[in-house]
Amino acid sequence: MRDLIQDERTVAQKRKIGSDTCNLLLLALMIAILVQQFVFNLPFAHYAAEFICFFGACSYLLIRNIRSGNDLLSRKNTGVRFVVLNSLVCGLTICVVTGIANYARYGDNSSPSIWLITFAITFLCGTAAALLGFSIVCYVNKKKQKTIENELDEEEDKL
Amino acid sequence: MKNIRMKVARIEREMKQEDLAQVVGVTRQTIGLIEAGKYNPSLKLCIAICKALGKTLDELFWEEKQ
Repeated sequence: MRDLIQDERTVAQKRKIGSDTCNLLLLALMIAILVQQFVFNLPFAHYAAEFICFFGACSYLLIRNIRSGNDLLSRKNTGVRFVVLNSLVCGLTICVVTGIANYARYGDNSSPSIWLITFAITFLCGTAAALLGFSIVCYVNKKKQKTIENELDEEEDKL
Repeated sequence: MKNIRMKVARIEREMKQEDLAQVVGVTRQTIGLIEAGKYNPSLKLCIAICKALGKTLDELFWEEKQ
């Protein structure tokens, strides 16, 4: 009987299980950070380990995918549209999450106009920060894709 | 090992890597890697490539013993 260690079905299944576990862990880390930051109102030092692990893992995923040549931008949402849409969604999410948390803490002390200005500034800052981040990712991704395209063109012309 | 037969079949059909990639629903990089012998495609992808190029699995992927 042949050695079953190299059974490709089980290897693929094990990889899928590992990948799912990683995704669940990332989700749990994100929830842990949000709960500690906004619900329990703890200082950063209490959730620094989770914060570093979460953003470290996200950065690793991003870098490995770009280095492997996996195109992070789908064919439909390319370039500027991808960057702008994602930045707006991120800005809005940051605005809503921090807005709710801040309102729960200091809601009684300020007038509605102050809150509106705060929301607007938070939205603008969040969107600008996300725009910068997504622009960098988009630029690096496009550069890598261009390099791969050139390599493939050279390979194709060889015959 | 490079898959020259697949490359020849593609050129005979006057298809670029990008065209074949679009027909079978993968990236151009995947087609390039298969032709360069650096990636083993699944049976499903092999069949899709064969259909797109009008060849049989034997003609494109069977390795005769030297």
